[in-house]
Amino acid sequence: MRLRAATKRYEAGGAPALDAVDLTVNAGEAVAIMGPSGSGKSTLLNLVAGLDRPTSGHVEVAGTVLNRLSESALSRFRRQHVGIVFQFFHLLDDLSARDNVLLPARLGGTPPRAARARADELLETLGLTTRAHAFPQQLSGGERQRVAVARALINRPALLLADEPTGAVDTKAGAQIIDLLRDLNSTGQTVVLVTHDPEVAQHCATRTVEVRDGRISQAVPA
Amino acid sequence: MRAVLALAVGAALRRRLQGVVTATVVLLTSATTVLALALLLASAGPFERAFERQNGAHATAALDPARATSGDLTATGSASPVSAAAGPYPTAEITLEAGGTPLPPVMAAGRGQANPGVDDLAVVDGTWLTGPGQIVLSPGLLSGPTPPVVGDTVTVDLPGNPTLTVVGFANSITRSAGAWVWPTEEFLADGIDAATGGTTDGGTTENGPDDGTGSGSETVAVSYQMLYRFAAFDGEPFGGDADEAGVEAALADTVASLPDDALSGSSTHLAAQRSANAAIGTLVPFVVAFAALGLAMSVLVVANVVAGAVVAGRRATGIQRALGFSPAQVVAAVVVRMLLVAVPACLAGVGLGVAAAVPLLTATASAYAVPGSADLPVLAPAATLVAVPLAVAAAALVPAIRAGRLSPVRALTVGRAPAPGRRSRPRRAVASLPLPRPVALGLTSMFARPTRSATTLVALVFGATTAVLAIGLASSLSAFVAASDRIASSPVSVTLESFGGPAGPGGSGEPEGPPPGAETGAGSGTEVDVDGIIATILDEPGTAAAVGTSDVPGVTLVGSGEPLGIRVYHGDATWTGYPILSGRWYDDGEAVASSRMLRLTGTDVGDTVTLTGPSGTARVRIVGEAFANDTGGGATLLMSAAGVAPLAGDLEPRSVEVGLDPGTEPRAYVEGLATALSDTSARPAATADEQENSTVAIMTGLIALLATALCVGAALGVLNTVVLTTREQVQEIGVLKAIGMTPRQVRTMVVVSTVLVGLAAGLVAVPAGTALHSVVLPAMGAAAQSGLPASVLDVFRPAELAALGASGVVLAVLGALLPAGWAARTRPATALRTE
Ligand SMILES: Nc1ncnc2c1ncn2[C@@H]1O[C@H](COP(=O)(O)OP(=O)(O)O)[C@@H](O)[C@H]1O
Ligand SMILES: [Mg+2]
Repeated sequence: MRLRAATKRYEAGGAPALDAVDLTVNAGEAVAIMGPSGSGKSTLLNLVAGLDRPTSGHVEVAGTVLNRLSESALSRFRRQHVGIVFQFFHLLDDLSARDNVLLPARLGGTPPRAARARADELLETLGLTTRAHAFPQQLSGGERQRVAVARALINRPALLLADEPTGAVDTKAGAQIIDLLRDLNSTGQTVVLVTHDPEVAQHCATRTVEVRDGRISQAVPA
Repeated sequence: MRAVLALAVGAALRRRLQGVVTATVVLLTSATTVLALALLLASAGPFERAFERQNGAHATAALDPARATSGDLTATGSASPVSAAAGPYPTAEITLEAGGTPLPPVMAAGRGQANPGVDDLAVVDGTWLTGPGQIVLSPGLLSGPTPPVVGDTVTVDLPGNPTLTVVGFANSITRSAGAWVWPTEEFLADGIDAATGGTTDGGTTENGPDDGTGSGSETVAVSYQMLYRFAAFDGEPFGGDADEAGVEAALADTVASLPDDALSGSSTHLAAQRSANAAIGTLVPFVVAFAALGLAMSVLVVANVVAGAVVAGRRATGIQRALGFSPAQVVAAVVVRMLLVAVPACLAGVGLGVAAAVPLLTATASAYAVPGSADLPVLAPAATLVAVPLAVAAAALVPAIRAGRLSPVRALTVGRAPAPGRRSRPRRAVASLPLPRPVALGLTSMFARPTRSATTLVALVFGATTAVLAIGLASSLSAFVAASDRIASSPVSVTLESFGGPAGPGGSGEPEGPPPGAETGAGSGTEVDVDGIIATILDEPGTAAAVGTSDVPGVTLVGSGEPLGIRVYHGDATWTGYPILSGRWYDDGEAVASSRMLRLTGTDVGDTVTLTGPSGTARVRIVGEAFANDTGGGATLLMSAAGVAPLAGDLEPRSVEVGLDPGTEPRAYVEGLATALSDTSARPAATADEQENSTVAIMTGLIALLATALCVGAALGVLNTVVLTTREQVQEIGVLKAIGMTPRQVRTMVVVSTVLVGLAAGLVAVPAGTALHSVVLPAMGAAAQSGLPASVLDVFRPAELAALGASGVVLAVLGALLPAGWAARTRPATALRTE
């Protein structure tokens, strides 16, 4: 994954939310992006995830240059190459935990049997087998976030992105999530994680990047 | 209050799409409401209202100038029953020729004043007469291939061929005459002279062509016309004691001072009302059905859209509450916000409605054939201007009060996604269905807001029902015209004479040959070689059948006052295409009755009736009921020439109806036939050309207009609902996109959320629309006192119905496409950036 001079302005002529950022993340790394609120962390993550387009500059993930992709192609890119975990989980209320996990696979047309097998395997890995048929409202914050991680992983993405994954859960559940991310990284999963909690960064990142006012101010090796 | 207003203005400006939808719907609704109200008002007793407005005459009397002088007649105006009188006007039945084409015979009255206080005329085009040499025609004469227009010159078919300039068109509510000329016009004066000089009414003169200078022997029969209003009926002309006998008694009192037999004929306003309403009757139920549907639809669509807009603003109201606004202030802000959008839109819509109503009412007035009703009743726009904003305020009030009562915290959380937990069971059930994900997710959002889905359903049901009814009515109307014209069976007719033939009883119109120079040794019009002409027609390639026909005047049904028309066929006429409603076609000595004849005279198929005609009396058995609407639409009998002989002697056909081989093009055929017949006085014409029914065209246009407005309203209702729902689900859509849902899948999901509702609407609308159609049409028939042929009643075909059933889906999809596209395009990052 590589950013070159990536700039994002939300208002034409306004101050850039992200200012000519250069950043490269290699496969197998776990990078924590840190910085104060409003510094541009989420913006950076959104560009990498293909959720938004840079105003100028170059964004390349898993060999694909995102700038030039159509909306549909971007959707397919996200489905195949990235998994995203949000601060507020963003599970679908009407779907059971298992169906939530299955959703990206079914949107992408993975054969149902294969998708179900993969979902059950993930749920088991994350210790959610007994909660598979519960609906999001019946789950605790930590459980919901683990379901979200499973959903992010169902299509075996090259890159796992997480925006403040521990921001909305209690400390104990947060610790579980951190362990989970570290375990994933240790099995080779590339992870980019946004957090403002140095402890989180320390625990599961191989490298920390500090963002301030839309610029990378320092890169600290973990 | 300042704060409330500022808030309302700001909110109105910010919610642009919502505002555009609301404004469009209010605009359309206001325009439709004006149209519908105008139509309803115009359809409420159009004849009766026009009669009041035009001071219609209670009695129209024809008086013999040989027995009463003009002075005697003027004196009758002060007889005790009379409240107002006009006349005497010399009248004569004449035939006019415009551009070489004869017009139907018409009663011309010599009259100087358009508005004498009795039978005021409504001048609909051009001006009133200012002196001799001019003529004002009634618009009824406008039919035919080259109808005269203001400024044209017409020739009176009388010796000397006097010419008159058409200066205007005017209507008489009681049809006292069909044309008006200056009272001193020479042919009328000559006629009076002839009558008072002692010339008796000796019937037609059998001379050859007379090109002499209109000497006394060649005058037209003139009688005097008096128009009376009677005090007894001034207050309540159509209710209370008003009956035919009462009017006739008042007239008898009025003319009691005149010599016996001076009164040669009379008609009453009640007879005029009956005949006018029979003609209008077909149209009224149709117009009313549509107007009522339009009104109901308008209310529903406005309520749906406005309530939706208010609900969408709930979050804002939550913030306002948190800022310290009282519930009342919140409600006021919401209502003011809606009115800020609705009032200008309503004004614009009323303007649009008024602009559209004027031509529509002109068309309706001419369809109703009543003078002067084209004015837009002020009530229509006035009521709309009051009612629509009130409806908007009312529709906004209920949800606004609910929003005002909510605690600020609740208000801040609702209006996003629906509260979880409640009503989630059906959604979960649907979501777990083995369907493609976008489809299943689309379906769940339908259950997320059951009330909203239900309102959309009702709006769509109305829209689709209207579409079904509209298509049915339009098909029925064109089937009605086709059945009336008998276009399919008898598409060409050949006129055997160059003009209309003898006028009514007492008329002595001498048929004149075509312009001087034509050698018409045989006395044109009376001795046409009919057999030769029919032989020529049958020889023409493309001819399938031909039969001579004529209409016999002066036959009455013994025991009935109803005027009777007899259409005679001189040969086999079973192919002429009259839809038989019951019974069978006639043999000699039998008759087929028009549906109206049976109803107006209380006769049944199988009855034997006694008819009296110029040559005698005959008993005729009625063996069938036909839809015969091209014979003036009145009480008509269809008979053979042999059957009618005892009544009217030997008759010559006046025209020939021609049936064509399949695939023969009528216009080309007519051109060929005209060449073949060029050295005879016979003139072929395609039926369609002559009877192009402008009323039906206008009505079809009206149906299309209202149906379109209603469908657009329904689609906008859907648009509004989907916009609301999509707004609420923006975050969920963002998540779905983030995890890889493509724009196409998003679009599918949003559209699917309405398709089921649309499908349900279609399933309800098809039976509802066809049922409504099957109620409206017989009502139209009953009002017009006529049965209707199956071709008019059964217009829906299964394939068509299936297509119509899909109309709900089409409307739903159309309404959902815009917000679906919007949802598909939204960047997930934007959608996700919440709180
Ligand atoms: N969709 C958006 N539209 C306008 N401004 C935005 C949008 N997203 C973020 N911003 C602005 O860009 C800046 C960086 O935001 P963000 O990347 O969310 O910061 P962080 O995640 O570090 O708190 C902020 O000033 C924020 O207000
Ligand atoms: Mg952030």
